[in-house]
Amino acid sequence: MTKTTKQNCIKKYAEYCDKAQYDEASFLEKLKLKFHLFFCKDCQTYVKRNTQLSQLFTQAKLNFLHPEEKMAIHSKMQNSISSETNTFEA
Amino acid sequence: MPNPKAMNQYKENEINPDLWIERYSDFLFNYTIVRVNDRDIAKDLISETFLAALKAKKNFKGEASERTWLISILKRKIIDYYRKINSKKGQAEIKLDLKNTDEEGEWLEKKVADDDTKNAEDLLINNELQSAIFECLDQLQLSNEQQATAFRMKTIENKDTETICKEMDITPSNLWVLIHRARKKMANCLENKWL
Repeated sequence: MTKTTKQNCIKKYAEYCDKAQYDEASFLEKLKLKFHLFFCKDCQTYVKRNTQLSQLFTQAKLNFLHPEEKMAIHSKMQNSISSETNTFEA
Repeated sequence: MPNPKAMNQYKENEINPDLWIERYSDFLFNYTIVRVNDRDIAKDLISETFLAALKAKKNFKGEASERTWLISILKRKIIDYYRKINSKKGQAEIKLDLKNTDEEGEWLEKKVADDDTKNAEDLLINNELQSAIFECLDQLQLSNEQQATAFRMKTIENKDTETICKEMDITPSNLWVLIHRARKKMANCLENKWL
């Protein structure tokens, strides 16, 4: 296998692995990936790290603000700035 | 919302209020929610923090990072919040979870000590992990904005592929390439900072 072919091959399976992290890999893609992992050490390492990354995100139990909530904070800030400016001008 | 030009001009240890919400609101929110346990109060405290920071921005010397400075303001806001609610009640609230009165005399060791120790340790580890993740997300944002946006939308906002492709005007295969690169960078970064 040439270097370019190998790289393309790894790219393809890396995509399957990434999709699997978001539950978006099809059954066939998962099957192909599992079979490929028997003989590809590079992909084994990638899958291990990728899974670990997903686990860290789950473990961190991150909470995020929704875009609307961020907008609300933004407009609150804007209102406060403009009211302060008005008071200063008055 | 954030100004893209301002985003590119961002430098460490420099005040840039245009980017505060986009860059720090999630980090500050995570910091607050575990301490006040109420989404609305957490949002209010973050707004108050940003406003206080805006007023005090002249005092920022650049010795610490913007994030550290904002956290120090937020900490004071959280303390003020608890002082306020405790002064309303007239005294601090002490929560005891005594479910079974038959076990009186044994509750001190069994129910209080063990649970609290575990929670405090978990909280500490979780805080450190969250900090590491947010620092890595910041680094990703600085190195490649498009990759960071794709990663955030997919991993954090849990948007589906079709929506992200529409919003970013890219094809699904482009999206997976962006996500692949972002995940590789995030894994490298977290390996250095956390594992």
